[in-house]
Amino acid sequence: MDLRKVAVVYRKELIDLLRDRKTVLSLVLFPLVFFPLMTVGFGTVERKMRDRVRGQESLVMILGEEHAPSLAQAIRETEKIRVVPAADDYVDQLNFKKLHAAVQIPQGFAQAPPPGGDPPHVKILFYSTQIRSETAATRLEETIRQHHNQLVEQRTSSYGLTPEMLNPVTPQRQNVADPQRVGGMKLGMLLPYFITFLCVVGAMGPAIDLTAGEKERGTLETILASGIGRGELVMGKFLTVLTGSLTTTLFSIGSFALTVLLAEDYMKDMTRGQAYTVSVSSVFWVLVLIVPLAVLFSAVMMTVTLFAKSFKEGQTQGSMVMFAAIVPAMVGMLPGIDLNPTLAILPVLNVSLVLKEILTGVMPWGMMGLTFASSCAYAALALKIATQTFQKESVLFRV
Amino acid sequence: MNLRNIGVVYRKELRDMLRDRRTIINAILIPLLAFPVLLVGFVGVAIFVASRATEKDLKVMILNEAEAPEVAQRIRRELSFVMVQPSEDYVDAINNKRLHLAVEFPAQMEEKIRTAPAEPHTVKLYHFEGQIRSTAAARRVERIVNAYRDEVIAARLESRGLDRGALEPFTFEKENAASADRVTGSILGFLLPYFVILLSLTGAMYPALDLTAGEKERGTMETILASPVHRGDLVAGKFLLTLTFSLVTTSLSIVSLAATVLGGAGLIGQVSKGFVFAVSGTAISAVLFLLLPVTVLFSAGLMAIAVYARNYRDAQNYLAPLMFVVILPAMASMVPGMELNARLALVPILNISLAAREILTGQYQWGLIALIFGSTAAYAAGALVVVARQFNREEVIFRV
Amino acid sequence: MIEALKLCKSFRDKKRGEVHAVQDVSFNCQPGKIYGLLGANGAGKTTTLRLLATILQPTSGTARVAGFDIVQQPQQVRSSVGFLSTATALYGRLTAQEMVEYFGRLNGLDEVTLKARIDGLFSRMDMDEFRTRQCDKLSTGMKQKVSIARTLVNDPPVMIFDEPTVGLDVMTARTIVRFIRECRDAGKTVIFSTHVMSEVEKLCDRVGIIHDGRLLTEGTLDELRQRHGLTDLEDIFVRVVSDGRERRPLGDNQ
Repeated sequence: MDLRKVAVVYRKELIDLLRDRKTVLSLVLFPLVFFPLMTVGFGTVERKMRDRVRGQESLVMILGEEHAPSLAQAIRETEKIRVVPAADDYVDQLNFKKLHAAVQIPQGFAQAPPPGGDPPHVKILFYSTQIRSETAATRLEETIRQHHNQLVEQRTSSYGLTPEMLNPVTPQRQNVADPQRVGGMKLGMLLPYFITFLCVVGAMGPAIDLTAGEKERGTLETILASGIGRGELVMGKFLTVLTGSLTTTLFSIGSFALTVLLAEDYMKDMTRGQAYTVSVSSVFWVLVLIVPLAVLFSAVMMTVTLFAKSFKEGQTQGSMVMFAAIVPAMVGMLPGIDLNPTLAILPVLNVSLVLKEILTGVMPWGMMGLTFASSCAYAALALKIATQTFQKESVLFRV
Repeated sequence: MNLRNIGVVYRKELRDMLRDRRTIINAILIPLLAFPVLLVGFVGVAIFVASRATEKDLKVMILNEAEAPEVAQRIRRELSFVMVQPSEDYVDAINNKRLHLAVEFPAQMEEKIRTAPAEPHTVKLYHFEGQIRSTAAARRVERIVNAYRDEVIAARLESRGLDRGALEPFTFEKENAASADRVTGSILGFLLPYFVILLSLTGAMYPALDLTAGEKERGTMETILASPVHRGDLVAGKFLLTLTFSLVTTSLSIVSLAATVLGGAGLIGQVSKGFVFAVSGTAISAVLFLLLPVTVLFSAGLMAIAVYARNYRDAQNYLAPLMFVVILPAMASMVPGMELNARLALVPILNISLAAREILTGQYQWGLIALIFGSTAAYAAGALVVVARQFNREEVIFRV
Repeated sequence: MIEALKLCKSFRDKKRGEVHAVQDVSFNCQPGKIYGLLGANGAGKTTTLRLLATILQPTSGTARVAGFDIVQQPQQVRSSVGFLSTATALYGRLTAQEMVEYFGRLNGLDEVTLKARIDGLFSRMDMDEFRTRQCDKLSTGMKQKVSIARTLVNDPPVMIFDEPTVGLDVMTARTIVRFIRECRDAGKTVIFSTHVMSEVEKLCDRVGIIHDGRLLTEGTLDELRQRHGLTDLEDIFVRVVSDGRERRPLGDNQ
């Protein structure tokens, strides 16, 4: 294999690719913009909406006010609650968002229940999944609970008991995982998937252009007649596709790292309040592990798109590869799947799982080694198949 | 406007498209099948994995068993737990997921509960927040401790001749007044409009591109422009085909998506009881109804853009950024608190997203819906005029 | 020079079954002479030329091009061959200069020689004006020149042209024809395929008529005239082809 010739092909394909506007857009702009947009963009909009809802009043109806005047009074006095006159069509009003919540106080509220019977039951009616309704119901619940506790205190003290006696033991959860891990775990549910996705997409564009595109333009025949071996030609093209894939991945990881560093608040939203930073070494190891994955995707993509007769066909086939590649990455997103030696040799999935771990600050060296080795094996296999396919006349000259 | 000619153009394009078997398979069948398989498969696997992960082998450590032997005993009896010998490094173990939960009782807890009833105690549960096994273990221990607490309270009350009822002034609970199909509707209303809009866009893309840029690429544009068909009729015929094709594929995709969601919801319903998922047929058909303006808009809009392209590939270059432009307003259905009003009803795509969401929750604001239809028709008409005009401009038709 | 020795190429097609594109084709081309391969569409011209250029591999048989065996030494064959086919396929986003440079480098030219060759070629063919323009933006005539320059950059001793004038206007076609003659005059071995009789009559020293993958007859124009008793090449062609068809038993895939 003449490396100089490989370099000639590589340089030309790279220049050619870079002059294509669409490629530049998808290779550079998209990954750069994607992550910040998802976090900052979406986070801002969501935040604004939630804040607005929080500032708004809840429209509440009290049914059976006469049975529990003090409770009703407490409700009326609650901040951000506005009581509307009672009406029969409250269900309709709830459904049509004219009313946010209603409190239903049963008749026998003030009296003691018959012996062995149930205490009176107060219902807070609301419309689930409607954010203003849920907010209203929560506010009502707070008020009612306070009232309830006051009554309980009165009763217990009248019996000579103290509230503490009725609260002998409480379980309390305390998180001892450091925030890095907690935050990393939450991110680890999304990020490996996105990185894998971008890695494939980054390979797709160049692969289609360099194979199906070449066929469509009619230049394939000419280049095959020139003084270069097929192996060298494949290598040169493959390296170009690989560059595309790695560039996209690099930019997306870069944009992720930047978002983490610069937009702390928004990151907190994503990790639900945990402080999270990303260390240089984790970024480094993420990159190391991505490389064989990028090789695998590039080789597979090139092989598949080589079968296409036209650019359009190439796109269709490339998309199918993309879908196939995403599935194991998605599986890696699921909670409850943990890295173990068996999973560490499954392609794509293993990288997803290892990335999940690394994001939490853990470095499972053994697993990382295993993942890297198996990824390299798959990558090498894919590359070999790609080279062989390129030699087949039936594929190159599909009529 | 010669209707007969439009019909001729329409029929030919239809026949042509239907014979493009490969594309039909790739553009229609694959998305139709891929969606359900992927979604159901994924959800199914997710549920399976999650439930199995918390079924057994939850490693629990009790740091100081001696302080509360009774409670500790009950914890030991929990089937899904594997008890681990107490050790100093539990924090580290939890961080590294070797341990899922560590329980710490306050000093002489059970002893003091018996002798000093006025003292409250807190049992600490050290866990890894967000990790599902850790959370599951914590939940189960909480249940055990709470059960124990209730027993203690009951005993204390009994010793004074009281029962629980004497202390409980009333109980209260949140109750969902929304009917099942409205709840479903609002869940669907969150996601479905976004997907519908996106599906509509992709469904319209293939025919819109093929009938304009594709025609140029195949070299047949010249031939047909030389025929006596009025250019406006030509555009109308192509537009109608794009519209038909897009409507069919999008409807099919939506139906398959809806079937999948119901199937998946059925799965969820089996695992977690009380999860009811009911869809009103009218709501779904209403959404399909809203499909019309979306598809019209996209068919016309995509054609207007694609007609500038030299070939298929060029057209794709123009359309890629378009996807972004469409996605953002389509996501309006996901923004809580954004409500449809007269002003928003004029913003394309956004209006349909919000309207679809509302319809799915049973709200039909006919006035605004009419406004949406009207404004969409206006935009589409505008786009079609652009297309017709472009068909008359030589630089565009013969862009080399 | 070119020596084809019983070249055979078959492949399996999904719709048509086993196709024998080239069957037992043997002929010789001498340096400083132009050999014309004449045949209808689908006769096997392109396949034969592709075999000679090592783009395709023969099913059996072989050929010697510029002294190298196409099966054993394909790389050397490629370095000695300039291949120009119908489509003036260029890389649209490269400039004219980059286009020619690319192929020069692929053929192993060092930078010094490459620069000298390019300068020479571009000035001789009047291409300096659009040297740095992207190929997408060139007229058909300019594109043709770039294709020619690209083929000549490594000064190959053998030139293979596959239907080089198809679809070209009169002026551009004449440029190609003139170019083919110049190659011959420079002592190169030239072979080109066509189905245009007038080209053959104008250019060729030797002609081979190919039909259904077989070389039915070959020789100089005079030899062919004597052999078949006809003067007009087109008549000769028709006679040869129909004779060839008669000789074949029924049932063969036509």
